[in-house]
Amino acid sequence: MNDKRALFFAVAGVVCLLLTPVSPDEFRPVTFGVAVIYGLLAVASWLDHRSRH
Amino acid sequence: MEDLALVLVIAVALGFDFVNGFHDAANSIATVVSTRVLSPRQAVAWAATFNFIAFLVFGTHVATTIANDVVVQDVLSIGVIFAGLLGAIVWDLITFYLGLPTSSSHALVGGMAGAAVVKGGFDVLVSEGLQKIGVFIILSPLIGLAVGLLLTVLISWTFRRVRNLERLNRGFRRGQLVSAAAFSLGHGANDAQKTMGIILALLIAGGHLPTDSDVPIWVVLSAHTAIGLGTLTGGWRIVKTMGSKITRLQPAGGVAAESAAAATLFFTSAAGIPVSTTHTITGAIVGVGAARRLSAVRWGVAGRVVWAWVLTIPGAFIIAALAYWVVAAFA
Repeated sequence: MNDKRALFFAVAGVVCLLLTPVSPDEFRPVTFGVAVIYGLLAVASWLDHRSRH
Repeated sequence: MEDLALVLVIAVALGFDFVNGFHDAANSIATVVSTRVLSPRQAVAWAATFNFIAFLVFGTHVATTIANDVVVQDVLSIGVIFAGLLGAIVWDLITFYLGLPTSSSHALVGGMAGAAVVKGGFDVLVSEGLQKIGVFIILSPLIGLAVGLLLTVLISWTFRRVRNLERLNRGFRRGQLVSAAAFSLGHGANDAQKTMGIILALLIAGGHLPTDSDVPIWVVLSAHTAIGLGTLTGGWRIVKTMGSKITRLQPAGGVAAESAAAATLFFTSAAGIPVSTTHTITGAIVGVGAARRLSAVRWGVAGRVVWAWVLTIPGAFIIAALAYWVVAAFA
């Protein structure tokens, strides 16, 4: 993955995923939801990068 | 004598709120000043007004978290709270002098924890509350970043066919008045409530209120007044870092960043989570920059900011712990 933005988003998604089990119960959906959003941003960024190069 | 000590520490707590206001003033005004929507004087007056009226919009859930969910109530005393506040204030002043936008909120949490641990050991820490606060130390800037980026993409897509950029920028400049006001509301709500929580804890510890008491209205008004006055006084050393050193902002970017940060603060305030308004707006500004390309963000500056964040809780913890040793020696 040579798109640094996609890599940044992927790492942010992984960090949020790792935070999910240690989050209080009522906030786990929020932490997991943010992880999913960063995962989607990583994919979108990679596709965008791929379409330009 | 104890009543005098209580009044003095309440004054110190309001002083912390004031310092918070002028330390964080740049957060509210940096984007709107860097895009030249308002002059610096107009911007601080605008932000201070919305800091103050935030009490009309939000409840006191954050205050309850600070009073009950950082350390056990039994360990709280006038001396512990005073030392905790002192730790937070000294740390804030150090980072203010160095021009680093650190978190007054986390300095307060670190300070309270440090003083309480010296008095009662590590068992006095409330793990669930600190867990919630700790998770959102990382999550709040990430939420701000994601929302800032998504809003920027949405704005770019919505207005992609507009040819008259001058007119578009004029529209977004006006829009920044609304987004800056929303951010100042969120800032006032989240940060003033931390001082309310401290004063509530003081009143409970002093036996003036029962343990399950709500925040009295005079506490609400005095905390919001203090933070509004602090914002009005302003602070300029940090404004350059926030507004332009991290990334360059156009009016549309300013609207996206402030709206993203405001939305994050509205959510966390409603959920009773004390977060850093500094972290949140910085994350949002980074998100706006990253929507163009990752290299648009000046990572060296962002890195200095991250180091300051990492050091805040331990730094305030240590200063508060030392302060409590001194307080306990004279008590």
